[in-house]
Amino acid sequence: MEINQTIKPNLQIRAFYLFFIIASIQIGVGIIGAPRFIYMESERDSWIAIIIAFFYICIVAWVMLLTLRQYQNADFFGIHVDIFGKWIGKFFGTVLIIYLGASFLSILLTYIEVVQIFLYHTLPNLLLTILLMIIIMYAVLGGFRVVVGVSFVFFILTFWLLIVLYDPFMRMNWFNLMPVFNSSFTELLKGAKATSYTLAGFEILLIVYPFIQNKEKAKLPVFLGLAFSSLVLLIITIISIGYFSPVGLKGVDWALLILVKSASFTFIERLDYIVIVVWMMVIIPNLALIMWSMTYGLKRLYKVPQRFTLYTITIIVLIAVNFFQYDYQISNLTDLVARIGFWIIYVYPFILLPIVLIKKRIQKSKSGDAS
Amino acid sequence: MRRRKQAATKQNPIFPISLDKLEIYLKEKFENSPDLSFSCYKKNEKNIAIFFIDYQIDTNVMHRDLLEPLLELEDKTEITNEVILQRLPLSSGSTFKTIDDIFKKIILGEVFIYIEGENEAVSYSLLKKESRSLEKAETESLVLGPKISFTESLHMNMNIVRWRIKSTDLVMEELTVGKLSPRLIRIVYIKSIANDDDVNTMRQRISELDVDEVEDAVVLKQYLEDSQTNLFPQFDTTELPDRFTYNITKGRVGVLVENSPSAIIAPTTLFSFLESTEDVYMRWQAGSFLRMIRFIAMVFSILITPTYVAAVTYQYGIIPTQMLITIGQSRAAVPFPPLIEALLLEFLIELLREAGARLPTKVGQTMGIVGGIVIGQAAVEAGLTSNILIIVVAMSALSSFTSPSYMMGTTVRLIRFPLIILAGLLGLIGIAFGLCFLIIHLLRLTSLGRPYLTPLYPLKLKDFNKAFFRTPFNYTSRRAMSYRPKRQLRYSKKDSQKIRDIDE
Amino acid sequence: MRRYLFILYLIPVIFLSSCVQTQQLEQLGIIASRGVDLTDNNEVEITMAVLQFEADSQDYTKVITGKSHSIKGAVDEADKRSNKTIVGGKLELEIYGKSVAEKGINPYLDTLRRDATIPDTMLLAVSETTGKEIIDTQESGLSTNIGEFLHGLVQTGIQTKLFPSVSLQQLSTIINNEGIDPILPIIGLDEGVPKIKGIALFKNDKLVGEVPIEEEKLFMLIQGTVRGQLFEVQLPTEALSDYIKDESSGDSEENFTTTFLIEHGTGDIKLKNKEKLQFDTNIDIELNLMEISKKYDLEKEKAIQDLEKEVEKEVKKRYEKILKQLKELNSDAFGYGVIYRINNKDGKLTKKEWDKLFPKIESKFTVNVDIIRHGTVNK
Repeated sequence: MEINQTIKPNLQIRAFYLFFIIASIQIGVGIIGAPRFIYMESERDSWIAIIIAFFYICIVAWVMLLTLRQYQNADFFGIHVDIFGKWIGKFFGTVLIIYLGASFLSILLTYIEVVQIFLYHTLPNLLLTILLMIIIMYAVLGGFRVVVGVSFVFFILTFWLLIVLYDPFMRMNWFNLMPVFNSSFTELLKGAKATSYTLAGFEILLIVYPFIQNKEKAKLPVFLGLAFSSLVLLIITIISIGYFSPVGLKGVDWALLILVKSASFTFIERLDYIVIVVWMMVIIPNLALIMWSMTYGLKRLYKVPQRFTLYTITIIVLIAVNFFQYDYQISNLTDLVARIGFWIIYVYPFILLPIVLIKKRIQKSKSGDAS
Repeated sequence: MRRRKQAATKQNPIFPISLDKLEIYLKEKFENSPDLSFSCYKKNEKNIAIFFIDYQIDTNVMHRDLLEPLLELEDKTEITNEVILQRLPLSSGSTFKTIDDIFKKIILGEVFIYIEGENEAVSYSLLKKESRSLEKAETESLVLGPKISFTESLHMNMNIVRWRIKSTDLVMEELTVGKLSPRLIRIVYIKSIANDDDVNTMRQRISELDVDEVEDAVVLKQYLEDSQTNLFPQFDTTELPDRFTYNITKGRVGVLVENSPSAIIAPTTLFSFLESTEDVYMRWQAGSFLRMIRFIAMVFSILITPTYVAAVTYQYGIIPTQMLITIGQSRAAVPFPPLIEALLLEFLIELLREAGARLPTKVGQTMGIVGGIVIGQAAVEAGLTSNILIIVVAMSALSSFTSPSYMMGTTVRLIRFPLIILAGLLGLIGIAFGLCFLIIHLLRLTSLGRPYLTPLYPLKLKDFNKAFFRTPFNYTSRRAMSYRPKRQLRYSKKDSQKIRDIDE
Repeated sequence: MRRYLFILYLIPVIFLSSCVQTQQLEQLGIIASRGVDLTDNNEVEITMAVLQFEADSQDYTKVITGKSHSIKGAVDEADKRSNKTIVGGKLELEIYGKSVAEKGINPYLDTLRRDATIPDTMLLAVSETTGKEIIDTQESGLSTNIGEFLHGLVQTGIQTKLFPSVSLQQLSTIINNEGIDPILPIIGLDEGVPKIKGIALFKNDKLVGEVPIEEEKLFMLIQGTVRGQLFEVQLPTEALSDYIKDESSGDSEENFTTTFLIEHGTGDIKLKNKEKLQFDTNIDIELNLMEISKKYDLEKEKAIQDLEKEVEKEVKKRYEKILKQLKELNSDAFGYGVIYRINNKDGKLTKKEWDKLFPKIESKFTVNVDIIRHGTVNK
């Protein structure tokens, strides 16, 4: 496996699409229920926790970019094989892919659960999975450019959903946010940690990086993407705190959907139905990007054709969803993904960077000796 | 232009040959075809045969300019091919050696003169081509702007295009397609603007096309498109010369086909199907407004009937209560589920449209009224459909007709049916699924290798004022980047935005 | 190959889609409003105004009742007696009988919140007697759709701010919030026609008292900004007798009536002294005189100032009376507790703590009235 890749120019994308990739992979099902989890930890000051989380993920993204910069055109898999050798490197790559697979499943199942609760009580898991998998397969079969296109176009098409928040915003009670600054620092950190599932996903940067045409401009769109999704989370959390009573918010599973439940236009009522349905367009870029990363990663690691892995993973998913029938199974899975994700995304880059730097220094001194 | 064509075929030339033999030979070949006229003359000691297919040529011209001068040559001159070519008052004379060439040409309306003993036969093209005169466009109609449309005559079409683009940069490359019945094809582009890749791709696709015949430009279009299993037209066709030349000057490649009144334009994007030259003729505010109306109409047309079906079958919650009562009351009498009801009515509307298109204009108009008012009213009263649905379906049909391209309108109407079925099976989720699928489908499409959704994706913000709305002309100094023209600048931006001082 | 795969995919979709329950509009009985009462043997009795559509009938409202131990159970029981499927996706108004409200409405709110199909915009009210009586009104003067009529009655309240908000979401927020107790409209029958008759005061989820509907503006002022509302005030004749130019009357009446249009009114509660539980309640109102029952000399500046003063006094008196009642009932409808909480250092206040504290609070009402206009005449 070569460490640095050469990507054909017609597969490359401009750096500014990174904004849409990052923003659309971060905003997914997590954000629907996030306010509750953050609120349970840091109460009224949840919004501060989110700001802390935002700065933290910026640092993480910066570390990731710095790590990637050490190589000419390498991704997560290449770097690991370079550092740890063939076997351990591939093992690390596989761990990432399994993590992605688990988060894929958790996103899918959470969305299905939402649809079952709000729209169709009798909907079989398999039906919605088939529908979603048809779309995802169709997107992934189109290749990387189509997957990026999906995240871009669907981002634009779903952007207007934020307008619906106008209604709960008008109804919210600002007193619920007062007094500020009385959560302890540990509570805030715990709150920030609670965002980890929601704000995860930007690790995709480690995989798509080689596809970027103008890498020197990659930084800004990445940070803007992170800022956008954090801002959306912030807005939703603030409105939720103002809109629900403290006891209510702790008991609400899908805060965002309840928020929009009372919004209505003159020609259409029950905006929550519309939001759930349109939310499909929010999670499809999510799933398509993850699916593409998995197939591409497996191709990098084991040279299996992407088409083959795509079909195989699809079949596995189609079988797997049938085993998740209960609410607690799904929340256990989500918890698991959140916990593993926390270590992989938020902690591991800080370990990886020094190793890469040391390795590079050794290489440099070696080559210096040789010359 | 005098062109001597060398017989490239390896067949042995049959000339010289005696006239009797030639006649037998030709008659054999044109068995069962009494139209071959073969006449022999004797002039200045030479036997001369003149043969042609009589309905293919202009006999008046032949008599006046070929036969008379030939027979009135001075008695002393020795008649040879050279003499004929020099003396007859006709241009475009040529000579042929092989019988195959002769057959090929004689059906294209050439008159052959063979002087016994010569090695070649002389031919003149005296083609009489029946073609209709220039008329108003039928399928695409404009309120403003030129109304003239292309005709079946390639020459006339080329003539129109030339007149509209009086530039030496305008290239009209000639190609032929079809083995059984070859057809002339012209690739039209402006060589200083059009992207070379596009022209090459187009040329390559046409020349590599291996078919027996091409029925029409619209058929050729389907042969040339990037994907044929696809619902969306990937090349634009138009019968309006102004739409054609407008696109050519913006750097696209056009194709004119012999005997076809429609011209092909490529590459196209989804949004270019919703553009009309009328947008440019209007003031920019009105142009933008109309263009946006069309966008909304397309979305509306695709979504409204499925939404009705989904809401009435599954998600009654989204209907406001007052409307719920109206819909509920009119639905109560309908014995079918909403899915069948909607399909039935959509089918009815499609029938009306199709019948209206097939019938002569006068009857067609009556059809519209009968269909629209009588059948609709009767359907409601008979309890076949709810009156709300009549409005819904009529609106969506109306919206689909706003597309300036008839092809796109048809596509939009077709897409509705799977969406209605999905909505009937799965409700709003079904619609969302259908839409997602549709969007990804569009993302995957290409036209002549160029992305179909540009300038939306890949995003070209600077092209938005060409695709989605219009800006005043001094802000459109560049051609759309989406087609990657060689020269982007249309005029100097600096001049166009120069601000004069007051009283200057 | 790929095409076959696609078809292979579609087959289960078609089969499985039959698992999805359809809810065809004409086969549904859609609850528009319902009344919740308790029967003598402690069963829940639900009276529902249901929208259902029949082919040859213009009358689309029907009243159905059901009895069981839970709300959903009662709906299900009613469903068995109906030829349509009863669904609650368009529920707009739920009315609790007086006895139910006195026992506490929390048990009934649970299903409303738990069931995702129930719209959050639905409104809640309390009946003067039983919910059944209100829903079952058979009055020819009403529009045929009783559910819509009732909803409109309360809904117009929200839109024109006739009454403080009472939607499900707002009620459940207030019930769960510390330091504030909910209020609901009381609907009663007036000559057979439903009408809002008063403001129900709750202690947590239990009905404890009632304030006449005339005081609604005072509640609204405390809750936020008020614009364009009529406001009726009785003023003592004696205090203003200098300016009254009514020759004919014998000055026998003690009070005279004025009606103002509130151009702009705001209320604001401040904690003055935390230990002593002293609050300041400031009310600012800009008024436009719309009607006055006596001839009053409005040309003099002093006359208007005195009028303002009298209105201030009157409003203050009314506020104090309400607060006294609230303290007696220990129902903090004005939300003093919220202000107390946000001034707490840790921002926390339990309901129990506030229950003990609320009867002890003191509030000083400062009412500031400006009469900025008095119509086209100045007499």
